[in-house]
Amino acid sequence: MQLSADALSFVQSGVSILVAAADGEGRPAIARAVGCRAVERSGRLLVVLRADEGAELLAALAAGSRIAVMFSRPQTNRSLQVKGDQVQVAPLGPRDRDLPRRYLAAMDAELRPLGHGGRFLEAVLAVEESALLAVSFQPCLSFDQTPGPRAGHSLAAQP
Amino acid sequence: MSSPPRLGAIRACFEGVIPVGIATVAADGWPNVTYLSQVHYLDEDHVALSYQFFNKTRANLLTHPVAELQLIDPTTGRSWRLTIRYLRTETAGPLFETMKAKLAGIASHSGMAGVFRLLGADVCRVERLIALPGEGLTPRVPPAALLPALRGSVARLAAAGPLDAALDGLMQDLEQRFRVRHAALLLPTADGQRLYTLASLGYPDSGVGSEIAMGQGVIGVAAREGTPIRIGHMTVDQAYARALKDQAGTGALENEIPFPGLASPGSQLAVPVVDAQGLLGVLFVEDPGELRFGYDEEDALVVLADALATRLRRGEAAPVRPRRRAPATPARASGPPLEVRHYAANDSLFLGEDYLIKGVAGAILWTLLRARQDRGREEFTNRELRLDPALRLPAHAENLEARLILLQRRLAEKASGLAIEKTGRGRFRLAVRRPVRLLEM
Repeated sequence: MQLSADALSFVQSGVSILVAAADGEGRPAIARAVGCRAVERSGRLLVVLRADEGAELLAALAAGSRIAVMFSRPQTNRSLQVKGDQVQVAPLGPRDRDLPRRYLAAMDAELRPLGHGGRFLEAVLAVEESALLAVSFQPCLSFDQTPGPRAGHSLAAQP
Repeated sequence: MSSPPRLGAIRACFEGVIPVGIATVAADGWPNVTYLSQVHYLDEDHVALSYQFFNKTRANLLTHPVAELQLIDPTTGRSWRLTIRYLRTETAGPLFETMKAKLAGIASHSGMAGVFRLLGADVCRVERLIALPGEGLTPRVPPAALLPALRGSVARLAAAGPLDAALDGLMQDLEQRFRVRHAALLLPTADGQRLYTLASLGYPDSGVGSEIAMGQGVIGVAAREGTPIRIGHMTVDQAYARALKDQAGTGALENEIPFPGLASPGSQLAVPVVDAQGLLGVLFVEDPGELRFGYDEEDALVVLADALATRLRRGEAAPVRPRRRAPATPARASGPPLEVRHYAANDSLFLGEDYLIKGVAGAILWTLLRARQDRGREEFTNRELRLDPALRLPAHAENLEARLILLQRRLAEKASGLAIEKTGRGRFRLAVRRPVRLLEM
């Protein structure tokens, strides 16, 4: 599936990103991502994970788990969940080294009005303290996850 | 080697300041990740998730009961991961009501009022708690010194002395030791249907004698369910919003005295005062600021309420030996006569056109005024009131002291020329400083 231009812009903006996978026994693993970008032409998404925080998640992905990623904008609660497969994990490439720093800046702009920016946000994301990995996947499904009765409704695939 | 993290030490994660992430797995193996509106700390081994809609997370939990939560401590920015196993869903009772009230605050805070409605509290067992890497910040606000505050206040409640002094001391301790700005103590009426305000702190009008229906607002729900109710945000939810003042003027006697509470509280906490024999009252604190009362403050007030329950149950023992003292010179009644009207149906009393009090406190004053008129008596003992069948005292007769305090305070506020004056332990005088005319309606 192809995400809409609006969705693509949303997932690459200052939004909270949580990633989930399932291990061989069907147990869930969760981790926070510190940046996302769309991979040109392939339609794939790439999210940045801290290696030390996401060990179980990375192990599940390495064992072949599919992936679920939620993007949520703190100021509006607008949320989108994208599920995908064909997951690849690789060291952060040269062109993505700057992604976490840009993500931090975008999140800071988003969270400052809510009083959670600055040093607090740096403590939460702790991107300086860890090795970073790029996790890319092919989106298959997407869901409107904005809180409310319609949360979880499938979004029609865009042409 | 550091000791394993304790869930009780990071309860700030569950205040609804920063949403909690949850990952589950579907029967077909697809992972799912979303935010939860509310996770509630039950004890070291249990949390409860708010169930509002039958969504993917819930479907997954029912078929595949393990979930991973991602928590952020709003005081330090540190992240934690919690593995939980779904056990059961509660759709009524104390836990449900506690979460329902808290959700109302969270909903209003996040612009979701009218969208969030609690259908159940999903109780889960904690299987693992791990600290995620990261240093975190030193909390900006140092934790309040609740234990020394508690120790001092409990000792004061346990000390000997009359109940009214103990209640004054309690309000003073809430203000000075706990830094609480607004508080009220309410006790159940004889029929158990309502609560009346006996003492308060920090309001322009004391509101002594004002009433709240059982089940109404955070105070009424705390009383009905016997569980603390705490809301950390200003809520627009009608069930908890302060609509009490709006009810004044509906003609109902219960609303004659307005409850003194804040018009738009940012934080509210109501703690039931209970013992093995049942409900003795509700201790209520509130603040204009948001998130003023957390889990720790709730714990402290629950312990304080327990000491208060012991104090209320102890009452005031009848005097072993009446003190020898010269009979007081009766105050000279002068001035225009005061008409005191009594309505037997609910024992309500009016001084002139002004409503004074009803119920047991009303019956007590009427009894005293008649004894004075018929037999010239002005000195009374608590004991004889306890034995008076006309007073319809509730089973727990120690509530008599509370009723006398209520009456004393209402009379003092009305400044009508009538007063209750303590003359010793378990003894008091009805002081009448103007002529009265008793009218039985």
